[in-house]
Amino acid sequence: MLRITLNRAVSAAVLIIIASIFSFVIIAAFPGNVAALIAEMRGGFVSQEVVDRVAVEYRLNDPLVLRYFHWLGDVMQGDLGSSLRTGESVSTALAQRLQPTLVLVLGGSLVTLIVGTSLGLAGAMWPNGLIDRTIRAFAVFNVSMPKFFLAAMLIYVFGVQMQLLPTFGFRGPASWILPCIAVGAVPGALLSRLMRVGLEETMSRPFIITAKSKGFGRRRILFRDALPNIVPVFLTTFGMNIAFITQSSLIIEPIFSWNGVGAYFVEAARFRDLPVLQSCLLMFSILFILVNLAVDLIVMMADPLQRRAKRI
Amino acid sequence: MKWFNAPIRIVGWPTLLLVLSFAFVAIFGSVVSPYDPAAQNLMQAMQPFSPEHWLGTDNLGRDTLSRLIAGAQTTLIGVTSILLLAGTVGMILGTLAGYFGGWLDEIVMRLCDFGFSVPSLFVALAIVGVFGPSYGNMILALAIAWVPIYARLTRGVVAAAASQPYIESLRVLGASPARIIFRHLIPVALGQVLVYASADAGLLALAIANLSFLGLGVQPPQAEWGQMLVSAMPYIQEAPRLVILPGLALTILVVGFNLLGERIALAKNPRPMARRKLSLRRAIFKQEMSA
Repeated sequence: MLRITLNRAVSAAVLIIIASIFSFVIIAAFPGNVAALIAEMRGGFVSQEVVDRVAVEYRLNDPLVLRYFHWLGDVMQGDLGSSLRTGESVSTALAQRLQPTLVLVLGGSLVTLIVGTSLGLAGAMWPNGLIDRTIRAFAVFNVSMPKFFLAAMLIYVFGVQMQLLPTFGFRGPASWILPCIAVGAVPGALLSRLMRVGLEETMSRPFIITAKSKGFGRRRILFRDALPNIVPVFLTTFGMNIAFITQSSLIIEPIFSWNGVGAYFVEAARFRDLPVLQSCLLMFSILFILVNLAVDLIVMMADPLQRRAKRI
Repeated sequence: MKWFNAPIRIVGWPTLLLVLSFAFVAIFGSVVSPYDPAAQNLMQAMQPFSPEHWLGTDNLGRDTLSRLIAGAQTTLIGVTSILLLAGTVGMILGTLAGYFGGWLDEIVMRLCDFGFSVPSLFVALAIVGVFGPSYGNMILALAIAWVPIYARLTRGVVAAAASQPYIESLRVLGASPARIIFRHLIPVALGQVLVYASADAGLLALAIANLSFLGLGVQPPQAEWGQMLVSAMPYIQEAPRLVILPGLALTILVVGFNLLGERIALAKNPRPMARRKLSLRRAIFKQEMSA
């Protein structure tokens, strides 16, 4: 177990290094003169002299490798540079905007969990019942419907027509409901399908027949005997869903005018705010790599078969 | 019409018809479109459904039906070019990595690992942010974000095929690496890549709409569904159809693509139980990739 853990940790570290190189190179690949762009964004008269001064300030004349290590050193010390547009420190801005994104990811995960487990268990409890058939009927729509369309429909139905819930801004729990549903509904439906198929397969195994022959009820067999078998798959999917929900924050935060990290990233892309783009890409990449690592390790702890297989 | 029977048997009439009708609209868009999609007419703004404007007009008096048709064109051209770009580059990288192995394989696969661990929308967004928002840059960005998938797919197929006896015999017979790659390995990989690409098309349509929705893809005069939807959001109360129609068009197109891809993939796998699991695995992978 320890060996595999170390192995995974090392490959995650390699990935993080690649992520940092990628985040750096993508900005270095900027077409045109970065110094001129920065000087222009600062406003005022842009002369060659000003451009030269900016180039020296940002070390744009140094060799690329040197710049990379310099930047990496700054990042390690928590200095992500400052926004070209507003001039504020990127790390401060990220910290300020963390709360809405955190609420979205946690709330979305909660919705996913509730929808996924309840519908999945209901589908397995009553196979071919109403819930089961409904889940299957909407299976194709799940992956096909764009998030922003779902969000727009939620806004229209619950915000505009029924005037039930606020659709604008990050203002208290009532305003959290719609965005969390918008990000959590589709992964929830998929999770339920996964549970349903996993349980169906488990229920056809010989040890379930043994349990049936002992005279246990369907509910007991389902919860006590079948359910533990799909835990590893469930955890893997749920972990993937966290990455997926975080990705949805890019789309959902701007729609509901939330000042989260996702909206910050989109804003930076719109205004070519290079330091912000770079930092956001790096931070999100590291986050995803760590989440993947954590999920892998948790699944290995939960599933003895995987531990023995020593899959690397 | 013998050549037409096989696709119908595999895919089924409804799906084929759905996808083909979108392709038809995209190809002959400028002919079937009743109005110029960019022509503004403020006197005719916000018209409801009528015989003149079947699906009404938007806040600038542009005909919605014409704009939806132009949007189909934008989306399908984008999807095709991204698939061609990403597929070609991915296949080249994957074949080289799979056939030659060694440090090349290591580098390509590490890059793929990175591409897989970070959702493609983030990568695409950062690239568009650096190069500036435009239709061309969006296509470039999505192609870059999609390369790892094709590179890894090709690499797997090629590496498996390269160790087979018939390839080894070729090598013994003195066939050059170029001949082995182009005559024997690429055709095998191409089949897999095409199957995969058919399933990927829906995802790419969503990705294009996502970026355009955020104002980072297709720019305003050109019509695109995601961008139509976002520009209609302020009018959602008075004219919800302006929001619903483009969203619905996109959903239907993606459903078509997904059904098509699923059927083609399932046709390769005849076992019913494995089929359900396969389709589910694809659905989960798909949702992780899309937003």
